[in-house]
Amino acid sequence: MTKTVNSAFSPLLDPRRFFAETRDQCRHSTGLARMLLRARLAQLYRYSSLGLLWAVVPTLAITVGVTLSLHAPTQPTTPGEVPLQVHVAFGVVLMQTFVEAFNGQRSIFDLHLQLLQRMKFPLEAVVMAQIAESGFNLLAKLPVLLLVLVFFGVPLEAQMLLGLLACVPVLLAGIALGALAAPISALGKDIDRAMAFVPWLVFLATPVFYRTPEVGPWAWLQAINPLTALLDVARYLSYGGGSPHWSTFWVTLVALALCLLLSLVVCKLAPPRLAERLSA
Amino acid sequence: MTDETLIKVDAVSKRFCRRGDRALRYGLQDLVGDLLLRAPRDALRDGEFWALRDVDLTIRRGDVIALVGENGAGKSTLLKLLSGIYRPTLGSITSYTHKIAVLDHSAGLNPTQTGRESIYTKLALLNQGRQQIAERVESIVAMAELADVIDAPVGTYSTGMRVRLAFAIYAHVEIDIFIVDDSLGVADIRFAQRMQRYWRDFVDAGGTLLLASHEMYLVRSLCNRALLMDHGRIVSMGDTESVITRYLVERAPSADGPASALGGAPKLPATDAESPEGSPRPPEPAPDSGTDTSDRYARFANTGDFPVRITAIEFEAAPSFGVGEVQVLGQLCIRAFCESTVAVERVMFGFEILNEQGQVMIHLRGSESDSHYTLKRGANVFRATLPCVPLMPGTYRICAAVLDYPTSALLGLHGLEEDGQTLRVLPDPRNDLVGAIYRGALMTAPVTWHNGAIAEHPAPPPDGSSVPLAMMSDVHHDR
Repeated sequence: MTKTVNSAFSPLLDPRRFFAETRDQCRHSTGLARMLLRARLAQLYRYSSLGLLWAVVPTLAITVGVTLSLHAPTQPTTPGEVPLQVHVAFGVVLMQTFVEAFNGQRSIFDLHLQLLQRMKFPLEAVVMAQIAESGFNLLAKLPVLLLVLVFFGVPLEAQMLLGLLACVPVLLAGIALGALAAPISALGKDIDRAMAFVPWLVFLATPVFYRTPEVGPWAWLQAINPLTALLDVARYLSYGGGSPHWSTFWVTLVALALCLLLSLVVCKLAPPRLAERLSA
Repeated sequence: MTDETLIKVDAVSKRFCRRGDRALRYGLQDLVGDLLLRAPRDALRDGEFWALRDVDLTIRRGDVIALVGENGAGKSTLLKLLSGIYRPTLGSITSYTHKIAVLDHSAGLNPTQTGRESIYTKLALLNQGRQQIAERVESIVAMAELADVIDAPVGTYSTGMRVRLAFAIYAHVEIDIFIVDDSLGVADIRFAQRMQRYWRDFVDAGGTLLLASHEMYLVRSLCNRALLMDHGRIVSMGDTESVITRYLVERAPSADGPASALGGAPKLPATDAESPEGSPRPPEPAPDSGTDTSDRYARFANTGDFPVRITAIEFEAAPSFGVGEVQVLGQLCIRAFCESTVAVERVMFGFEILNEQGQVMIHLRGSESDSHYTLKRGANVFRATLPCVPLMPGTYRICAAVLDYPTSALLGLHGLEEDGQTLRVLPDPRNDLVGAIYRGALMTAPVTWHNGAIAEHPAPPPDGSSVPLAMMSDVHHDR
């Protein structure tokens, strides 16, 4: 018979058991996560006449708007470089992916807070459902990127598949930070308010609308900005442009793995704390 | 009930914080404490209180346990700890099953999902496969009687409809422990009866039920064990009837009316009791002049001491219970034993029953007939019988007095300064007084109910007079 102990002591005191339980829970939650994803997508697009097209429309509109508003040559001025429009379009899509993944974790967490106070259920399923939704959103944006590349005459090469793969760390960064911030911001309203504008700060500090500077103090900041490293590596692998800081990229990947682990632990520990403090 | 343990609760305490801002901060502290492997602390921070304290409990398969107690006693907190929603602040809960369903007012449904989606989600949360879910959806919809609105968002449902849906979902899942947190009241009567029937069947089939409810009739009819909770502790555990009795006694009505004039003029005078001798009906005692009892006696005896010392007050109840206990609407015989230093030809005996706030609930004196007592030197016994005690369950005290008949001056008094003899009025299991307790009723009364509909519906008499009572169906329930 299954034996579970709900103790006052931290579950992390027995890490082997904790992670085994988490693994089992994740394994058992895949069906539920699928169902939550379906329900979530149905809710998101239930009352709109464009339905699932809304997954593409914002990206398309922003990309078209940015492309038209940029007064830059539509042909590369230096060999091996893509037009600025392509650079910005990629930046917008990747940044949007990051912000959506970040906010998505928070919003789905908020959505299930009431439920957490009423019944015990695996939060892993909710996190997985949101990961899948963020992945779906990224996939929905890829045709727009392809369209941009074709429109500006950038040759499509097999290496681009690596570029797609490099989009995944951007997605995971949003998920990890969002999943970490969601329970914490639910318990700390100051953090919650900060979370509303932090993505905008990140947006400004990351070369989305401009090429990554290579000299000066701003260049130094970009060299250590993990998000810049993720974006530029994805750009570089997709069409050969950008200025990838490979060392920062690898450090970021390690940090990302640790952050994912931490967010998983926090999401596992947080529900009872949230339930009791929010209902008190 | 078997010996198979399903849940074991060991020395569990749970603290909460009343201040919203601090509650969140403490939650964050506790979360960080978990990450840093800090040991739990048996202490309260500013604004916190113990919602549950040192609770030990074992729930076995087949147990049907009621949790009773006032709002805020800790029932819901205990149920949420048992179902794993909360974590204990101290102690541990070991569960040997994960098949636990919790039904409460909000029913744990996501308001943005439709009823049909909720069925899928909830069943998936309860570890049901897609195939199993698909097979049960229509049956659940039919049971919840929500076919017309099943594709509307749950947020548009009434509370009763949500409970119906959640209940129907749970009723289609194999569950070891059904936890019901006072959710009967939100369902309409017909569906509430359906839920009760389900739970009876569930219990009969060996299911384990934990029921937190103020519906005492339901608790009595379903549960074989009860816990009485008060201020986060289990104060009583045992067979349902005795625990409910204690609960009702402790939840006796408390009026906020002014306390009885304990130190003032006695309002006690005579009785309607058994009168040893016939005598003219005694006059009303003199109105309270504001003087205290000693002064009034001093006018009579010109001394500071009462000539009559009431040494003891005894009760005899029918039906009989423990010492000093009587059942609601039961018969009560009161005996006052006195030692008198004087002989008085005509005296009155009277008594008052006061509640815990000192409010006079019953004031009786003299006799309805022309009778009086004669006081002799030495030992005297005054007796009075209340054929029916119309008090709500609770703890009361009785004060007795002996008065001079012509002047109404006090000869003896017992109970005002000595706090009186304690009388505990116990609930009658046949008489559901929960509604009266909620309404803060101070008294009850024997009653005869004339149930049933009008047998026929004749045209109203031309003169407009009412339908004669004889046409009522002849069903009576006497209490």
